[in-house]
Amino acid sequence: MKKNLLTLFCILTVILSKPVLAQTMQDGLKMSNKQLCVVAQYQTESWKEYWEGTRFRTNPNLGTFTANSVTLMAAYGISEKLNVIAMLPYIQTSATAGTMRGQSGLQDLSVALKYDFLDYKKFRMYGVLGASTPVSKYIPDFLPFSIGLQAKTASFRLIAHQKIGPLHITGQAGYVARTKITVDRTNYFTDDNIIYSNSMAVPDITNVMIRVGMDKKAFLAEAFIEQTNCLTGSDIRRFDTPLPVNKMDFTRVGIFVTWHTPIKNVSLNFNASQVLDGRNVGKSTMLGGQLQYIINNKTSNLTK
Amino acid sequence: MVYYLKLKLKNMKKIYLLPVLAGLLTMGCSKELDSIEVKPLVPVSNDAEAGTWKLYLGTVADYAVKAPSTSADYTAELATAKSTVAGLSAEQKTALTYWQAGSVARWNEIARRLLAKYNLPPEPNEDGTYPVPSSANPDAYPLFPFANPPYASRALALLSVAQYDALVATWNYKFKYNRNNNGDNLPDYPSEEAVVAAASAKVLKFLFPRSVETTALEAQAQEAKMAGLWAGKNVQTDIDAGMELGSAVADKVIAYAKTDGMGAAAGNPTILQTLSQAAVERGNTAPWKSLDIPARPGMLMQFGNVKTWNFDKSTKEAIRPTAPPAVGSAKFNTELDEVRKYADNTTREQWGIIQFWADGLGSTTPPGHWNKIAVDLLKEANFSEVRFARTMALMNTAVEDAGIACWDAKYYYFTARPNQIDGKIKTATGTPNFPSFTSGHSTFSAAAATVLTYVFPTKQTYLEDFAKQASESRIMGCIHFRSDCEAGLTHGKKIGEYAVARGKADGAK
Repeated sequence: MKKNLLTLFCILTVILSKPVLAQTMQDGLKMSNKQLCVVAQYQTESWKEYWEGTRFRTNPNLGTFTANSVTLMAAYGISEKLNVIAMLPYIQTSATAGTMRGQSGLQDLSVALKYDFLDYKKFRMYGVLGASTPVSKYIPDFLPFSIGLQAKTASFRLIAHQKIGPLHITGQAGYVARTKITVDRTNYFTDDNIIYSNSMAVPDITNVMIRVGMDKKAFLAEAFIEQTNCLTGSDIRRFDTPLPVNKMDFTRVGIFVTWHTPIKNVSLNFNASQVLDGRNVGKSTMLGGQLQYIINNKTSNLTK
Repeated sequence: MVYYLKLKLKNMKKIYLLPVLAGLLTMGCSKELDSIEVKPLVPVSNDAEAGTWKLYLGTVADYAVKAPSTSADYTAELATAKSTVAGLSAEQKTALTYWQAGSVARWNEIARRLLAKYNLPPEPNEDGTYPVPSSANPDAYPLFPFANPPYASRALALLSVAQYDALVATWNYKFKYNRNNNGDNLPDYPSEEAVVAAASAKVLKFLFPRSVETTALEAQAQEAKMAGLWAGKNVQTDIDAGMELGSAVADKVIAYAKTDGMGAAAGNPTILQTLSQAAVERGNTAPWKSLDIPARPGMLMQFGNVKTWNFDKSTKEAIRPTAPPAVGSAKFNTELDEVRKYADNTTREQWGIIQFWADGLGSTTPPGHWNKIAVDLLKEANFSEVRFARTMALMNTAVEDAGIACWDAKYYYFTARPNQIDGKIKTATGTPNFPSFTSGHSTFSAAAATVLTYVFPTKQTYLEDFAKQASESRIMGCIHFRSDCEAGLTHGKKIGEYAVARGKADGAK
């Protein structure tokens, strides 16, 4: 039981819609003191239909869009109460039709501090303070192919976690502030106006999520639903290309399954999710797998 | 590996993580964009002789402006104007600041916004055909116009010609009647702000006839015309005479536009087939095909037949670039390899250049980009409104001529884009839906740079480098061969020189 809890909280799913968020920053668990969890993840996201503003459509000049990513993640228990989490994805994008070139590269390094500030019986609350910064000079203004938006972010989340027998329920709400970005063009058209500037105000984001899970022996399963909204932003115009300042909203559901392998401290995770509704985003289907490994430094001879 | 990661995390915790978090939380996340400073136009000269400059369409005698009143009416008008100035609302003061940046510059900016707004291609019908925007029904989808680069070049030329002709006529009457109540060195009657407002709004309403735009343009003109009165320079009759004159000039420009051949420029699939066949008969072994899905008729395939401003049809044909390297020739293969190299490896700096000059969907197009460059130079130079308009007209007639002559070459040679020849080439910018040779960016840019260099000789290097960069960006973006761009630059420079020759003979010193 204890092992499962530790494992679950080491789950770090990348949400592939921009911005990339670590699930660990959103779940209801934490690492123990001096424990280190490392995870390697592969994820694929694809969509053929998308929302141009609120209009649902396909685009024969794009075909099916795909974003594949490999992400390295780590979480470490600084103390029993405080964890630090870091992650860095490599992303590659492409489309099956049209003439435009896909993009690839290292995206943004995210770090977060997760603090367990309330423990009452089977109820826990956490605060998560996060930040991210781009680590490569990828091109932000080449959507949908851009691997990210080049904005630095600062985020804050509150997480409430309740255990009910073998079940648990986690609710979280987060706010992600994003810096304006610099693009290579000198002006752009948004909100019925032309802006003569090479800087774009990428919208801030709110995100709420509910996760329900069950923990049984070697398996652990969770289902989740989330809603992400941009606080500002414009719609993609009919037959226009997207902009980093677009309002990219979506509702997504998914599942997450962990199998604790017979190999000590090694788990395999599988996740699948589907965007149900959105605005200026693709109707994405996401599939991912993770290999995770926990190192208990209290007993590790690597710790000197 | 694990050891390394752990150390790294520990270091991050102590040295890196906390300051980064603190820094991000205090950075304020301001969404405020850099704003553009509004400086009033303070001309270095009143160009008193500008009323004698040569018009593009007709002569000043075509526009009658009656003599202003000097009687008691005028005294009453002055008193009314004075009290209006004393009682300006905050809103009117803001509007005044906006228009004082320069009438020609502001209406050019308004035009560029409309270009960006309407630069979206029609979506295909269910059956794979494409609807054609109609000026007779501009409110229905597809919206009229599709303000693509040739459309933009013509729109800006018509606007600039209207502004220039209207201002030359204005200057003529200003110094003829010499009404001056405010003691500056420019006579008041007719008001230059009003004449530019009437001429610009009317031409733009013709070019962007959708009801939402005509309503907005009328409101802008009603505000713009008052700038001179609110600034304490004009009385109502100065404004009324300006509006009447500006409107008459716009009528003449619109009459020209209705017969310049644009109405037939869109063509149709049959004409496209004929053009392709003609190029094949001249030896083209790989005629251009639309890479849009479904295949879209080539953009404004008959724009090459639109009437040019600064030279005639026979000159257009005489200066048409000679044929590009044949597909499969050694030179062609070398150029294709160059494009492939960019497709395989584009540096971040090159991406920046490609995107800076992309001027694709939803943008002001390359002609609009060069208008912004010109307006910025002209503001810095503090030209009078009439000299400002003259430069814009010289440049924009050259840019439209460049578009016409370039489109003529494109559909004459009908050559394929690099990614039609080699489908493995993926582009770093949108693939334009028209033949490759010559490059539109190159032709537009060289024509604009040549005219601006004539006006601003000290900026020659800056302007030529810009044109060269715009041209190269299309090879880097993998949508053009080097021959397309080099021929376009040479062609554009020649076209620009025709406008320069006009400038040297138009009476302006």
